[in-house]
Amino acid sequence: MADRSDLKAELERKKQRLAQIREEKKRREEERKKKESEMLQRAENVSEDSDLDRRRRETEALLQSIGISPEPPLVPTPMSPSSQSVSPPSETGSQESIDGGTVGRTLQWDTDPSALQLLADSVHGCRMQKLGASKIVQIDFMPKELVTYSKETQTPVASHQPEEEDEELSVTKSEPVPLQLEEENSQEAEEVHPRELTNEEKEQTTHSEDFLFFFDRSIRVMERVLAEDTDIFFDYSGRDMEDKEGDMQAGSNLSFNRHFYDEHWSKHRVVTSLDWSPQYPELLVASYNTNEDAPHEPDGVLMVWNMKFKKMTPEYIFHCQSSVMSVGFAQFHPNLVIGGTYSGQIALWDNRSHRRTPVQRTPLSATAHTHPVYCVNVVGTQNANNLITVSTDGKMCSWSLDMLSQPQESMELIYNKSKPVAVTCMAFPASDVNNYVVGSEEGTVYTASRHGSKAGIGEMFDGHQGPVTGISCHNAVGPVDFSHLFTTSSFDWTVKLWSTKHNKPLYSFEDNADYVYDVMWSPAHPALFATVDGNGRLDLWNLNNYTEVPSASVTVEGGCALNRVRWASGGREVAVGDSEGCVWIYDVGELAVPHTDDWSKFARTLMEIRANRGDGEEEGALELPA
Amino acid sequence: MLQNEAEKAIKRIQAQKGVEGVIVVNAEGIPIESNLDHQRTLHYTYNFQQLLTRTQRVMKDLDPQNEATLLDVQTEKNNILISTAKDYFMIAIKNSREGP
Repeated sequence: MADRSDLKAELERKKQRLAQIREEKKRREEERKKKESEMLQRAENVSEDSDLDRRRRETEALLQSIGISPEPPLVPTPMSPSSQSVSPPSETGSQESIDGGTVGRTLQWDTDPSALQLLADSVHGCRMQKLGASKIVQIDFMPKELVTYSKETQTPVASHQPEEEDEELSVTKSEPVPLQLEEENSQEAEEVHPRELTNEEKEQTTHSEDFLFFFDRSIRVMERVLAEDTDIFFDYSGRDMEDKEGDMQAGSNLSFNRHFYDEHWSKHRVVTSLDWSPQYPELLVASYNTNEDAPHEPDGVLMVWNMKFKKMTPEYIFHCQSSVMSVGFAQFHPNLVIGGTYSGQIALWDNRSHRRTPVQRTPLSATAHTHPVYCVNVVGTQNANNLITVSTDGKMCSWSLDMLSQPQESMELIYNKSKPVAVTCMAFPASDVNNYVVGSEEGTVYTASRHGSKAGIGEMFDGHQGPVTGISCHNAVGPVDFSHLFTTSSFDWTVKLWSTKHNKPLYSFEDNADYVYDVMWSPAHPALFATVDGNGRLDLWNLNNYTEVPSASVTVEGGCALNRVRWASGGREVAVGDSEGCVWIYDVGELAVPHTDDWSKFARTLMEIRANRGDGEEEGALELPA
Repeated sequence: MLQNEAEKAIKRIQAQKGVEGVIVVNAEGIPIESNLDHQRTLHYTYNFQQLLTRTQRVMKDLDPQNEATLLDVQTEKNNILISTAKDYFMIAIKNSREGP
């Protein structure tokens, strides 16, 4: 009896507990119901709920059959709109607990797909149906298809290519075409390939700044590299020895190196002046005259040539409206090139700008030059330098490169208070900024100075019978100072050696048979100078060897008259400009290399020369104050 | 004038001894100038563009501030130069062993 009452009491207690739990659940479910009714306002709810109910019961039955003991619901279940529907049918506490148990259970089976289904079932009311039957779907994104052109690329590595090229092909505009390894032919390639550009688009591209930058740089580099023909694979063992000419001229004194000629700009123009760059020994600037056959082209052309690379095109091309008669690199300004023109203007070009026309020009005014400027020279030091220019009307102007609008000073070169000197050439002795020598059209040579009490023309040197075409002061620096020496060349077929101390020539070189157009001392060898004449002959005179004949001589191909000669700063190469617009570079061999005794030898040679001259010509020779 | 200059410059290179072909390609990979036939042009452009992209990636990977400007591919039969700047590039094909 007591047991029964006990049992009854227990049952009642259990019932109460269960009722409490039920109430709590109800409350929660009611709240949830509210939320859910706000979110999901579908009529299906009810039917689906009943569906859900059925499913729930089925699953629960299944679980029970498996034999899973119920557990009290520990986890707050956010999940069930269904549980509220479950609760009415649950008649016994055990049902509920099973419910809870199953609910609790499902949480433990997270990884099991079927459990996931249950979970999904319980969580998402409306969508249950669809998901119930589905499998896990894996979605593949096909790799971006690309087209290869030939079977050669379909190497065993081909499988890797698609992955890499996926990213890289974003550049092309090709439409993705399914990869067909077998069907590569031009047809397909063309279909797939980016469209052809119209002319307008091409124009647009080629005018864009980026393109210009790219193009300018690439063209230069390409030309240089393509022009090189050194064979880096050369095998000295001779296995693939072809017929090589070799250095046949290795031993000769004067051998042809190369020539510079531009079809368009050099044709029919005379090379009027040459200058080597002081900063970059491989750069040479050449100025050209008018091209009479092409009146619409600019009259004056400058081209900067590069010796270092084998390419046949100039580094820079500059223009001017008037013929450029003389040119020089600005000594202390690496980027500037100065030219004196036929109109009397001085023009300044800058290789930093992309323009071909001068960046600065002197005005055409009476204060500046009004006659052709045949001589331009930068003298001075880094901090104090001037541009000295002389024109054929005897005017010498000194300019500052910063301000070309007017000369710093100008001077008329007048000899003996008569008419001005028509200057054709000018030279400064080494390291002298004040005194210089000029040659004139009448055949006389004068010394002049810029400042000082005797500013202007100094002494007169008479000797030539024709206009003086070139004048050069002794350049080579060595133990003995020969800076008082200078040579001149003239239309009278001679080259004369002078000293500033005597107003008569020390020696006259008469080997030429035509006008001698230019002369220049070697910058390295004290007794060596080069001359060029109208027969196309380039002569090297080494006074330590012979004074009667040139030590080396060569006639330039084509035999045109040679207008200018310039030694490179190292004294190993000679640049010659001819009347057809071609610049020839010759290598000078052993002859150009000075030996230490060359200076003393030359001093002795000079003494001999003087002695000989002294015997011959006594009349009129004046010893001039140094 | 610039278009003219560009064409002239390209013709100059094309006329150099041993140079078989020159192709100029714009940033999108479309050849804008070439002296080879169409098929070959596309072929070369396509292949070298990939090579170039790969190379640029390598250079950037090694040093982010660096980039390739000139590739010189020496092969058995010839020498191919690819010069690049700002996404444009130029290909020049030169036959080797054609000395003076």
